Amino acid sequence: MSGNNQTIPQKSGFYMFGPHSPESLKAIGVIGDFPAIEPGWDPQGNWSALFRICMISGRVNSFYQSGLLKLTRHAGTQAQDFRLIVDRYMKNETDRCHHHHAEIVCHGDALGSPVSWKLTSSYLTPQGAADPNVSRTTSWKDSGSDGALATSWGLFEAVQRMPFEKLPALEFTMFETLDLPKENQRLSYRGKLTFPTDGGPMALHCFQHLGWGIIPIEYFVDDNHRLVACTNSARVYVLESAALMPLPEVLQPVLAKLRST
Amino acid sequence: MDPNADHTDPMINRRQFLQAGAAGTALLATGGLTYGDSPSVHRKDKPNILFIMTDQQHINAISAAGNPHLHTPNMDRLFRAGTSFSESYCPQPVCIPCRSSIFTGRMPTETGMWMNTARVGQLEESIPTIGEWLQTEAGYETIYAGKWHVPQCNTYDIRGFNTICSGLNHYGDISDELVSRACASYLLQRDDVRPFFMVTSLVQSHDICHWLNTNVPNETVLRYPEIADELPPLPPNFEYDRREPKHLASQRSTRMQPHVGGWEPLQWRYYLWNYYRHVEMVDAEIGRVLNALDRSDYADNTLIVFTSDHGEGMGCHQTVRKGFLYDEAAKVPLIFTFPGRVRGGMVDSSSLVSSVDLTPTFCDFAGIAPPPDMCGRSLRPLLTGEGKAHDTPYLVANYEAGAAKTLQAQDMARMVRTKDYKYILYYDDETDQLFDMKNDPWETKNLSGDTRYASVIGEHRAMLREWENRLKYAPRYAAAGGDCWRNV
Repeated sequence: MSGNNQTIPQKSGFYMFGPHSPESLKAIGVIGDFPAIEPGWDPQGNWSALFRICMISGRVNSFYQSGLLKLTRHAGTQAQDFRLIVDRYMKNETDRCHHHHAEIVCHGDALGSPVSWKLTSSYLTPQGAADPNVSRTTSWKDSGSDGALATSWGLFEAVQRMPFEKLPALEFTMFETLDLPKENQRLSYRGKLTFPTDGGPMALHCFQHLGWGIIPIEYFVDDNHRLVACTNSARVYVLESAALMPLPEVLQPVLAKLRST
Repeated sequence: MDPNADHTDPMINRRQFLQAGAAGTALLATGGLTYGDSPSVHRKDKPNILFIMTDQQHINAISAAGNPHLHTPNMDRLFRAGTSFSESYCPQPVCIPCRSSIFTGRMPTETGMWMNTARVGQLEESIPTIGEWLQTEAGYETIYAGKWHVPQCNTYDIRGFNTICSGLNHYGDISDELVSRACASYLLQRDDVRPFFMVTSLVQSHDICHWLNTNVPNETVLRYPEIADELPPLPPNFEYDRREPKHLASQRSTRMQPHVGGWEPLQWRYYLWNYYRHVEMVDAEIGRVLNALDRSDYADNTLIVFTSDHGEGMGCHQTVRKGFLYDEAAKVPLIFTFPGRVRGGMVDSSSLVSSVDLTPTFCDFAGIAPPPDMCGRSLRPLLTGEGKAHDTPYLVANYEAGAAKTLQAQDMARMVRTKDYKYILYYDDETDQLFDMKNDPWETKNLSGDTRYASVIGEHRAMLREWENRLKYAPRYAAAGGDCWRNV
């Protein structure tokens, strides 16, 4: 990336040093090449994206495959609004799953600021039913503007509409998983990098996200502005179709369901 | 409860949402809030207890404690509303052993969990957990969410507790949200007249271990130049007295330590900056639980206890992580709040307290005698200003690395902390450490080689012998060679 330091991933026996990036993830076998983009794909239009969620502690052969995230964008009838549907499944060590289903109505501004949302949080028993003691539905509606707002899932959509230019950082308060406010967030274009594919080098663009209450996050989009990966020092989201590692058995029916809807 | 029912919160607007933290602070400060008219949830003799525990949090990693380099509004509201302790220690600065002590009130050498490996076995059957004790002796509903690690890291099978949510491996980044959300939902939806004891066990800031794994090589250029002005300074005891037990030197030179990567000051400061972000992450999750408590029926009759299992090196003595007995790893934050019953806005900087004091303190507030053979004592008199406080003349903490395969005790260490001194002794190392904690609280000068302090060392070793001979070691610990401490 011109003008910025880029740490070259270093494999040192058992460990992988350096921040997680598509290149380092490919070097350790987490992902292969990204699939070709669908014809007519438009970040401002209707699309859906399915991501594998992994936790990586730096050890080359030690990953914790924790879940799946599906985002679906529905362009609104009004020119500047859209809806974002979120389904996130996380599994724990005892193979129980947690499911977030969210419907977010968003402004079409730079951050996809939330207008309203409804979130259902379901802790699934081994039998697949929602545990009523801890499962819950909550909702929220914005009643006025008091500074820029974004949601953590909304940023997956917003980075796909950001220009590949070094501009002043967008500053905002973020609602993490919709209901945990975190102030003093900054999102900006970091630069261009290359991703080695079997068909030759592919251009990727990186956006960096800094702020209170988060460890730095990097979003990687391709030349078509499609988000292909998102990483921080421990958590990785990658397009499911690029993931090479076998999905845990408990998540396989979930994957089938998310692909079919 | 119908799982398909829509437990929908009223639609709230942005201003109300963002001010939820401030509202929570006001509620804690006044202590006079009551929700509803349910007398059964307001039993003074059996208050609810919300026990929130983080992982690997340095005692100074709270902004209200005077640290300007991070923002912890939720820990701050506890700090300002309650009593905190600046001389609070864990029994052994590493996960499995100290957690076994936190939940039993016994030392790790008694619980049988003296090493940080699941191979060491299960908790001694004869020792009850605080969950079991409060259930059977006081009729509490006992609820657990999150990391257990006694010795299984995450499980739904925890003695004495109904587990509502287990953690996700050792990743707080993913796990803590699910744990805090489960606790919040449970508090808001609970339909039970019994008092409750709820444990919210969060993993952050332990994720710094993953960050360290990935960032061993020294970097001479900041990855994010924008944060250059935000980098914290090196700690006052970054330079240290090189006369220390060989275990510590060995620990610094292992593969994943900064000395392997040749860290320079910039990289150390970047690590501190990242560590504080990890603490901020868990602070936000704590806020979710506190806000739910504020909105529940239980806000005015709940004792909130906040601590961490052990500390974090944070560059002090050029250490990271834990597994040694300097204060950065051995000390833990410890805060109690209970409006109207625990003194507010207090920092106790003279009492020596330990995590083994938690079980007897919980029992005291619940109005019952603690389990037998407690190693600690109730802190209630110190918290309420009522009754006679026991003045602890010394406390002891352990470290045992152990041989993971044979489980034979090795690299065994003890710390004896009195009001004025701290003595650290490794069993098979002739280099011990003595620090004058009144005049050298950062532990920068080892006095053990100075003959003027020989009698001080002798007194501390005598205290250690007295302490170890009082303990009832787990049979397997004695069999592993641990009972040598009785004759030190």
